[in-house]
Amino acid sequence: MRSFEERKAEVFCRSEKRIRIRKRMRNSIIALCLPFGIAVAIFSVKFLPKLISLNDIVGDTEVTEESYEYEYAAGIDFCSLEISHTMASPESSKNITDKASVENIYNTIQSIFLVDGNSNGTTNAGGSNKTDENFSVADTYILTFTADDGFKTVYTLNGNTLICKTNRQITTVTDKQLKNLKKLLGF
Amino acid sequence: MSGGNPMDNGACSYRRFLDGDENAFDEIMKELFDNLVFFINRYVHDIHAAEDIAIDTFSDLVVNKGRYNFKVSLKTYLFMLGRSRALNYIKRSKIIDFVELENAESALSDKLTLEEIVISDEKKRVINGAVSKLNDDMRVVVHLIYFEDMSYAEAAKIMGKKPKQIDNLLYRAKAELRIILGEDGELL
Repeated sequence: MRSFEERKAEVFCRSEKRIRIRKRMRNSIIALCLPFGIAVAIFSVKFLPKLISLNDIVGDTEVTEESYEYEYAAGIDFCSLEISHTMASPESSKNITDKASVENIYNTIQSIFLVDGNSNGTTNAGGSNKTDENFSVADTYILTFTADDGFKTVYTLNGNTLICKTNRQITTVTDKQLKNLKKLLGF
Repeated sequence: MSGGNPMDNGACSYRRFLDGDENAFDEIMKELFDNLVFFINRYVHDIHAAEDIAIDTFSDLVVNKGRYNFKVSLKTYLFMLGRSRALNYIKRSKIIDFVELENAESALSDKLTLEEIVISDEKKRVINGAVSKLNDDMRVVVHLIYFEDMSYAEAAKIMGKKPKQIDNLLYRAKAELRIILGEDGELL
């Protein structure tokens, strides 16, 4: 059997060896994980600014289907609205240049399209399912929204039928919505 | 025999070692090393392997400094570690080693020397001979309670059993030893 000094020396010798092995394993793990860490960092740096800018557009509001629909509108500033009628002369068309009013009317029209969640549908879940059976092109209001950069969006309102010529969307307007819209348009 | 020391002594020395006093570790080794080897030998029946395992156990104290939480005595903690390592050793070495006769004689003489160091009481030396004839658990529990002067709670902690189980084991071990020792059973 070993003497006391030999035992003590052996204890510390084995301890140092175990500590060295442990450090080596730790370093190996770090060396393996480091590339992954770098990849994650690069990924974050590359895509995080895009995520942040998307948040700025959407804002603090909860991103819903409706919000995405309005994102298109939110990105465009309409500065004027021209209201003309197919049965009236071009000179009698009405112009609304107040930005707030134009935006209000535009948002109202957008909300009509979004109420039933199906902007391509012909029914309106918010109200009665009325369609104007006697669709007459002659009796149609044409709403032309113009943006600062000249971009135009055109809507036509015939009876209870609202059509977006730009996006080729059609929807039915309830009587209540129609009344509200006409009020905003000044009819 | 150097019986169980007060709980605080080992813990105090270890605290001093953790604070940087290397002499404190010497004290711990002088106090507990031989007892630990003797205890481990109850499992492995090989004095040199027991010494090796004891060295590894003490090395645990150095490498894993934060693991001992001072809730049990340092002796109990060391014996727990030693037992665990001894059982691992037994699991690994299932092959019977054939030893040269000279080496066997040397191992026997080392064991006898260790006995002399650890068991100063003649009475206990007699019992020690009989204890080796008991089964594993009884042998270990007699060693811990009778040779190491541990409490039932400490022995239970080391063996991973309940104090009541230790009590039962000890009762049965004593009965067996009376049979083995015959007339000398009265010593118990």
